[in-house]
Amino acid sequence: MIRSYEGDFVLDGRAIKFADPFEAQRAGISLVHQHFALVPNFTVAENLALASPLTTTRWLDLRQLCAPALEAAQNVGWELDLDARTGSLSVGEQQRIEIVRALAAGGKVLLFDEPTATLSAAEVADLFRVMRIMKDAGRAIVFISHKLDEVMEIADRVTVMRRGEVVAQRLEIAETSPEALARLMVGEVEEPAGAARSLTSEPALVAEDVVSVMPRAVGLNGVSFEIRSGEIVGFGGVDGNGQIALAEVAAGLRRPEAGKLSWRGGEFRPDRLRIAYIPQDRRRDGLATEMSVLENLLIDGHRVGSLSRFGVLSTTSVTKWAQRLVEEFDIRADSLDTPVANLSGGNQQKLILARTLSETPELIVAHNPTRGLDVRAASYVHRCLRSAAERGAAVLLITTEVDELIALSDRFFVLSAGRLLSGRDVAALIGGRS
Amino acid sequence: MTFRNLLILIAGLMAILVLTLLAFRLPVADSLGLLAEGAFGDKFGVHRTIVKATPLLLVALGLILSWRAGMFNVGGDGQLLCGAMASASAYAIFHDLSPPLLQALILVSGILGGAAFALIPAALYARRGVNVVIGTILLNFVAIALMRWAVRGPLQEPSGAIPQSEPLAKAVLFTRLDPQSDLHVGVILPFLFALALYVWLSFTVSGFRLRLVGSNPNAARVARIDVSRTQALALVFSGAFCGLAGAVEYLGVSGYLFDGFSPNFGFLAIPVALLGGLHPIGVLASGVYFGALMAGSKRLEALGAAPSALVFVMQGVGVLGYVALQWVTRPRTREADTA
Repeated sequence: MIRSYEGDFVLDGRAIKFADPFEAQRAGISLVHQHFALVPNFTVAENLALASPLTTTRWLDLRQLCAPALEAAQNVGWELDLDARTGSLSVGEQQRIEIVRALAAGGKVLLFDEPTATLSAAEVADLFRVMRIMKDAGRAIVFISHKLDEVMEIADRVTVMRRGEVVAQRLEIAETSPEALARLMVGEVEEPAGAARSLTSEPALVAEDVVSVMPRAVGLNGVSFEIRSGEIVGFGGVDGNGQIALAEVAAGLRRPEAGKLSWRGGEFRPDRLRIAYIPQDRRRDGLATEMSVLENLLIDGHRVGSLSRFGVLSTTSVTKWAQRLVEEFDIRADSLDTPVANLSGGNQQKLILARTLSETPELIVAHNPTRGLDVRAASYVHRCLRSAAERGAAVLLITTEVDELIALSDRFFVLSAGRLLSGRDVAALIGGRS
Repeated sequence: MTFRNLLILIAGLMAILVLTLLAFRLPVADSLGLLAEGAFGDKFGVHRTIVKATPLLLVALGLILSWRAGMFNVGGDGQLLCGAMASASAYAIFHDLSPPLLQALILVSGILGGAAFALIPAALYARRGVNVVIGTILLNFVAIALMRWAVRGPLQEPSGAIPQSEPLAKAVLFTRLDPQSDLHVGVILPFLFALALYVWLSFTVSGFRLRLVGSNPNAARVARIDVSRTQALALVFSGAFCGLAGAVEYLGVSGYLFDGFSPNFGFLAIPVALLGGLHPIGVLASGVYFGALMAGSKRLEALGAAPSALVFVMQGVGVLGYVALQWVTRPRTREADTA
């Protein structure tokens, strides 16, 4: 899917290069995607048929096309309901279709990209059972994961990668330990950068046993913490452990089902506070991409009292205000009327920072604020957050980047299955205990 | 829209017009002449065009209001009919009031009638998540049936001989601006409301919120805007515009209700709104264009063509052309993700 630029892959002693996934499949390499490549509205049979070369027949004989996949399923002891609509199946069941498809293609090498990320414990156990069957049948399996206990359980050898580079190769599992792997994955863990600063003020945001239920994701299962004004408190951990719930609860977009949030000893009233929320998906939650730079600045600014009178926006003061923000935050855009879709990711993020941070917020909720940004833009975001904290904002930073967590936070916690663990638990930081 | 795109649009519409005439096997030059003459040839043509455009414009303005909030109201016809029925009811109840007061009352009733009818799909959407397109389109048929019943039942003229409502007294009808034609004072309303809607959408905080909701409801939610309430309100106000269109048609043109009171104004307004770029001012141009087609196509009967079919074809093809044009003139976005 993505071609390599340099270097060779070697299979059975021959160097190989693939132009497309089908070529890789013909060479005997199959990939089980983390986000399944299934058509939700198709039946199981139709999805299985997708894996076969459809060019061989004119009529769509699903039974015939599915036959190899069905056989593969039987070999590992799985029953598949061919007529079920794929979208109605559980995640684990959908993954079985993916795996069976890969097996049916006759792959010698099977790549599993984070296969256990969304599975229940029982499903993981079953997956490992099947992986062992495949191993015994003489297939090579590549298991990509950041869950250390799973790696320790299923793998024979392990390679550790950090930031696109291999930091340790071909370690025999028997000769290593989860702790050693964790250290390799994270690198040296330093003391949080801001820890030296002394903070004497009373806590600003206090959460006590906050519970938030998310319909199709991990929520918060009783979370307690304090953030003081001027302090950056980080929340690390692997994605999908309650980050979204934490961000939205703290930003006041979601009411907790149980527990208590308070602000400076009183009630937490998000509508009365100046909260700056930097969502992790800026195109989805932060911007209206076909609207202009000026209008996107107004997304938070429409509350700014000085810009409108009796609900009518004053064009001159809005333009002046927007111009000032564009200069202050160095947003590179052709003009204020340019659609935001035309801006680079870094400039889009600067725009969000401009409109949220310019009103001297009391609370900042930043969720993966540097996602998708290059190094320069990322360090700009870091500087902005630090200086906002110095000016007295309480900053709640949620990030999956360990480096960012350590560089920015005064203290940090780790989110795991909707609970908080102490930041000193390094293995938890990268999901070893989840 | 840039000047270049505007030229492409006009050229495209002309091409569609010519191609449609060819498809109907009509002599192009003669037909164009007849169309132009029927629509703009004399003051009667011009007046006819404006009168035909008026309900189209009012409904189209309403559609813009809801579509810009992401609510695809296609129930303009039903809301227009309910507005007209509310107007006729007001007349039946209060016909003794002085004419100016009665006119105001009829207009307000029309607005409320359309808004009330739009409240049904709005509430279904906000409370139950019922798809707006489905809700509004199905309620059109309910309104058509209601109208059929009303002009044979509660609103039928006193003698009970014909299925129509009691005609408005002459003094209550909108004043004719020209005694020889149908041109009534109500035709200025679309222009006033287009201006008002433009100012509201572009220069007010609430108009901005509505556009944000339509443009990206997620971002609106994060900005603490009550998305479903905004959308529901947009649909209700949209219905108000459509209801007003019904009241104006009642007061200005027909003066009574009957089965075919709306020759699909609610549907015809959809291409008007789209071709106008969902912009209140742009819609004035496209509304007048389609009004001219409706007015001018009558003349084509002389050549043996069915005028309504022609207009429908032009509208349908016009929308397709518009969609194609959007693709041609879409803004190219840069892919680079650097600061």
